[in-house]
Amino acid sequence: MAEPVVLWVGTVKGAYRFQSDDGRRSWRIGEPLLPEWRVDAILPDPADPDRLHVGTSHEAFGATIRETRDAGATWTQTPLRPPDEPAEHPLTRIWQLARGTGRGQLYAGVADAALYASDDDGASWREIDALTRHPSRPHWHPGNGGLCLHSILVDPHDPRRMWVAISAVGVFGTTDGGETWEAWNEGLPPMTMTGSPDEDAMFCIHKIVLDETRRDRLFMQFHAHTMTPDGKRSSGVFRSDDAGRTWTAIDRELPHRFGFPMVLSPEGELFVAPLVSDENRVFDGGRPAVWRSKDAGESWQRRDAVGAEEPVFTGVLRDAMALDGRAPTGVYFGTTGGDVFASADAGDDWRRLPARLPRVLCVRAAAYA
Amino acid sequence: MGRVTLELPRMLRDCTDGRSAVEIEADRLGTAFAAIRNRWPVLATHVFTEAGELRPHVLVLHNDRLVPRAPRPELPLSAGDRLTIVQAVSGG
Repeated sequence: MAEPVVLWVGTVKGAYRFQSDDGRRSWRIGEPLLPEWRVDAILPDPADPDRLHVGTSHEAFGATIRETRDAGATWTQTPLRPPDEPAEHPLTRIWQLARGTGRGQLYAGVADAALYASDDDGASWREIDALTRHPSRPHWHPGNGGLCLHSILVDPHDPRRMWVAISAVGVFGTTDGGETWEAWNEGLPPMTMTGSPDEDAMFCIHKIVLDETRRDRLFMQFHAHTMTPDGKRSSGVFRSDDAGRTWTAIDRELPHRFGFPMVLSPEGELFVAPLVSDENRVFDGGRPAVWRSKDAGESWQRRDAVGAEEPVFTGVLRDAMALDGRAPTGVYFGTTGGDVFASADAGDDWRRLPARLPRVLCVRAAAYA
Repeated sequence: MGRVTLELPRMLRDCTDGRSAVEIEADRLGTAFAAIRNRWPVLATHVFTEAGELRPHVLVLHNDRLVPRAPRPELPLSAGDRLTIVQAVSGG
């Protein structure tokens, strides 16, 4: 039997677990988990296929982080803040969960934008409030999805270096373990040209990823305004070769520059899922596709996600694409229409998984020995 | 103080070890809310804001009658009363 691969899908109504035991040729889906709750963030355990943390929220009942050690049969939940502790900003959603380099070290990105850390595998949390005390904080504006901290990157070679991205604010970096933060957005198109202080904190980042094999290289999927305030078409996909200090567009070959998710394999394969535009957030022509670059964005290849029986006028949200860490890498994405597409060969061939789910918010995959 | 029954929606029952209703000692609405915070802090996270107020889309029924949203900590409770936490019908 091949090593199992587990695929977790978070939706607006619960999470779903798929598992393949035959080399990713077929998949079986489990029962819905936490079906009343919105699941924006999933963090699988790299060593235990039945253990994971999820970020859940509900419009009426708020947000907590939950953990299961038995594939969702039972859960424990942990609030990020003690009840009744006065807070300057509301906590509405858990947007991102990430693993640090230390044992039991986790991070959570939330809305309203803030970064939390745990040193005990999620049993307790504390805010890294140097970020929310940044001088630009009064000028932070929410994107359409809220004021969300959605990307958390930790340098595996130097855990004192971290990057976070906030929509619609920008990238912030630290080189001292979170004690101080700087805005690193040079080279990105501004949202406005007014000259107001807001301009330093008005960059609608959709996703950033870190190249762990090449020091100082990051990639970004940006909002890509159809037209910048000075009348030019905005770029949407960027690369930084100086740890995020400056960004350069790498999307000349892409047909559309707007999109949300971005993933990078250990072999350097970069994937994005372009949508028509800011105003029309669907696949072009009803044909779901990802674009893959094997040379850090110098060139791109379209890979059609066949398996849809009919036109698919849906989109992909910022955390709804994932890789599974195997070679060749499995690539997975879920759509706003509830479809999940899977490739077992780095995006060359695709199939639609046998389920139609609620609106997909996040996808995570892990392979187990 | 009398014993009051607190009834919970299904999605919050994991905060009370799976129980749909729990007993609390309270003679006022305010003491009932304080009991929730003390005994079930995770439940309190889902019911109250950080400012200590009911979340905007959470309602409390007292013996099946809606408790007004304005703070009513002095609302008297009697032994055998029921408090029910419900989600406001507001979409989603």
